[in-house]
Amino acid sequence: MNIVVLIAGVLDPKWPIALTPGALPARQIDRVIMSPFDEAALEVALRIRDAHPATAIRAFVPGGEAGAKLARAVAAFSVADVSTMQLDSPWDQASVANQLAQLCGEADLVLLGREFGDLDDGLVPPLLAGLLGAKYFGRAQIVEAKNEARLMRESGSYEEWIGFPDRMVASVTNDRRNRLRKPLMKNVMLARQASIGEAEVSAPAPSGLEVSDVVELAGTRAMTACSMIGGSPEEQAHALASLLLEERS
Amino acid sequence: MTDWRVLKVRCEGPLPTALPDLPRPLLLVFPASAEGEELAGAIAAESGAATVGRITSLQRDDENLVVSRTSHGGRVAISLRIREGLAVATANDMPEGDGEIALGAPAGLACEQIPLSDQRVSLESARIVIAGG
Repeated sequence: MNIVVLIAGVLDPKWPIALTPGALPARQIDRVIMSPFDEAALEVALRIRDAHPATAIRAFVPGGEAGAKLARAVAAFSVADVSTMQLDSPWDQASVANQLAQLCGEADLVLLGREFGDLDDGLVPPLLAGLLGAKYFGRAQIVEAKNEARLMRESGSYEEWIGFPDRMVASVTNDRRNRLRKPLMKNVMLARQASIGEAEVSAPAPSGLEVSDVVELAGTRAMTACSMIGGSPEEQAHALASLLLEERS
Repeated sequence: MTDWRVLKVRCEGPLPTALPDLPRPLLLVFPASAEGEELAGAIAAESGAATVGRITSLQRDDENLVVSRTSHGGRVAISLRIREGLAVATANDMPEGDGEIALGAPAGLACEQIPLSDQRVSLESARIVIAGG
């Protein structure tokens, strides 16, 4: 099986964001890390390879030179074929999906995080599937790799399991049962010397979408309606039940 | 005065995803659910629509539509300007629009469904979190 893993990377939330007025935050080489969704996607690919050693994994990391450190972090998991690429308009999800589609070639399975980096909120994966004409399985949580590999997601009160006999794009969300393993130290050392390629992707046609403003929100807080519930335990239980019923309706 | 129309989309039924012939410029706003995102992505891929993500607000500005959304884990707000054509968005709180249309969800995959043995809801996906103490 040929698997392509698309690792978006995010700016490390430990560090404050420094904005140039009107411009998107720069992806500094030493501050880009894998998001939990990236890690989950990579772990799924590694588990499939563990069970099926003939599996070939290719990984792509955006950012050109700025993505090189992250690319080496991916290579440390014995992923020999890791490349960086430049995304022309990272805020434009259609443009991103179009460029990612150019990298997927004949992959049987394309894995990426549920959100592709800091500037996506969930539209890039289904867009990519649509552009590739592939089946789409969103928000996968774990993989069962023995025998025929299958992905699972929880939906309502069900587990949904699916194999992938046909070409598929799967977005992966984080799940405690699918945490990214630690790389072996010897592989970390080897990855420092690894050759990181740079994939060429052509710019898609302009979509007419442009950034008109960028504002830092640090220091502000999202406000949520909140109320204290008082009274006797019975009154509290009644008030809580009413709140839940109201939310459900 | 802008010609932009904003239609809320209701994901409904196993219908084809083909869009009806609607006048442009047009923004389609889908619910920010797994189903809404999947349908929005499928329609954007098929129609070549611009995608503006999970919007928090929108305003008409002369000939343009300006939408805002957050990025970088909610630390940055971006405003995007769209000039013409078809655009798709998702939203948690659906904006006031010029109407509503129902579009079919993409054809479902043939999944095996097994009732969850563990009915606990993960904290990350809980809609309501109750803390005592």
